[in-house]
Amino acid sequence: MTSQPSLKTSGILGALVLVLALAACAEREPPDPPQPVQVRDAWSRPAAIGTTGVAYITLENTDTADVHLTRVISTVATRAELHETMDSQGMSHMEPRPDVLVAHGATIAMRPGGLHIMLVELTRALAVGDTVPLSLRFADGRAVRALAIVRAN
Amino acid sequence: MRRIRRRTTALVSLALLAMGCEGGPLRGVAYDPPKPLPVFEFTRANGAALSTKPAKDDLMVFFFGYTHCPDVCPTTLSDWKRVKARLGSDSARVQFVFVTVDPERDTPEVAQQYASQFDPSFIGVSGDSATTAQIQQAFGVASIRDAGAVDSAASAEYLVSHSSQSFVVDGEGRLVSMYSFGSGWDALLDDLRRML
Repeated sequence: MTSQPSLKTSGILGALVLVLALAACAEREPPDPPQPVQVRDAWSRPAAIGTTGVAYITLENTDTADVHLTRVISTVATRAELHETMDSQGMSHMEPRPDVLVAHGATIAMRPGGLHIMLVELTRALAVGDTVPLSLRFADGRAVRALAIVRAN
Repeated sequence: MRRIRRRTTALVSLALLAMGCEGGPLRGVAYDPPKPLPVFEFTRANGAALSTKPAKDDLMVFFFGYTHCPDVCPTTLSDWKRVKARLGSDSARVQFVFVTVDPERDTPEVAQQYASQFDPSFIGVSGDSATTAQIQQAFGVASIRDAGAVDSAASAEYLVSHSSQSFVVDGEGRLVSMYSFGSGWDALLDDLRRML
C-alpha cells in the first residue's frame, strides 16, 4: 500500500522550502548593518541668504561605545558650528562646543534655547519645506548624513 | 430638586472660576505698578518714524536681539508669529517690534528684513548707539559682544549675549509685563488677550 503525503505534511514541506528560499535570498543580499548612530527629527528654520541659520537634530547612539560628534558640514552654509545657548539670569549667550558626546545607549536632543547647529553665512535662502543637507562627522571617523526639514516652528 | 440645586452650584462655581481667571495674575512677570517709559523714536527702513509709545488702547511687544542670532531670536519671533495668528483680528491692535542690540551690523534695512521674514507686519528697528543704549536701559535690557565666540580670524563675526525676554507696553507707554525665553508663547498670548 502506497502512502500519500497528508495535507499537513505538504504544508510543512512548503513552509520549509519558503524559509530556505528566503534564507538563500538573505545570503545573496545581506541587509545593511544597523546604523549605530541614528539621526531623528532634523529640522531648521526659514532664513535669508547670507544670514545665520540653525539646525536641530536628535542623535541616538545604539552602539556599545560612546561617540563624539565633532563636526557638521552643510552645503547651505559657509560653515556649521556646534553651539549651546546658555541662559543666566535672563541673559542669553552661546557657547561654542568643540564636540558633542553621545554616550552609548543615550539620546541627545538639540532644541531651541539649548544645543544647536549654527549655520554661518547661508549660501541660499531657507524657506518652509526646503531641506538642509547635513553631514555629521564623528571622532571615530564615521560620517552620518541627515536632511533637516525647514519649518516655521 | 436636589439635581437642580447641584446644577446651580456647578454653574455658580464655573462663573466664579471664570471671574477668578479674568482677575487673576498675569502669566508673565507683571510690573506692579506698571513702569512708565521714556518715548523713543526710530527711523524705519522705509523712512517712517516709529514711536515706542503705542496708540491709546493698543499694545506693543518688544524684543531686543540681533540678526546674526541663530537660536533665541528666531525662536522668539517664531513664537510671536503663533501669538499673532491666534489673536485673530485683535492682532491689529498689537505691534510686534524687534529692536537690534547690534546696530553696527544691523542697519534699519537689515533689522526690518529680519523681522519681516517671520511676519510682514513685524517691525524691525535699529537706532544709533546712544538710542540703543538708552532704550535698553529703560527696559532693563543688557547686551555685550562676545569676543572670539565665533571664528576669531574673521573680525566681522561675533556673537552677542543679550537679554532674552519679551516685553509688553500698554497704550499709556508703560511697561506692564515681561516674558522670559522659554516661558511659552501661550503665556504671552493669554496675557495679550486679557489686556486688549
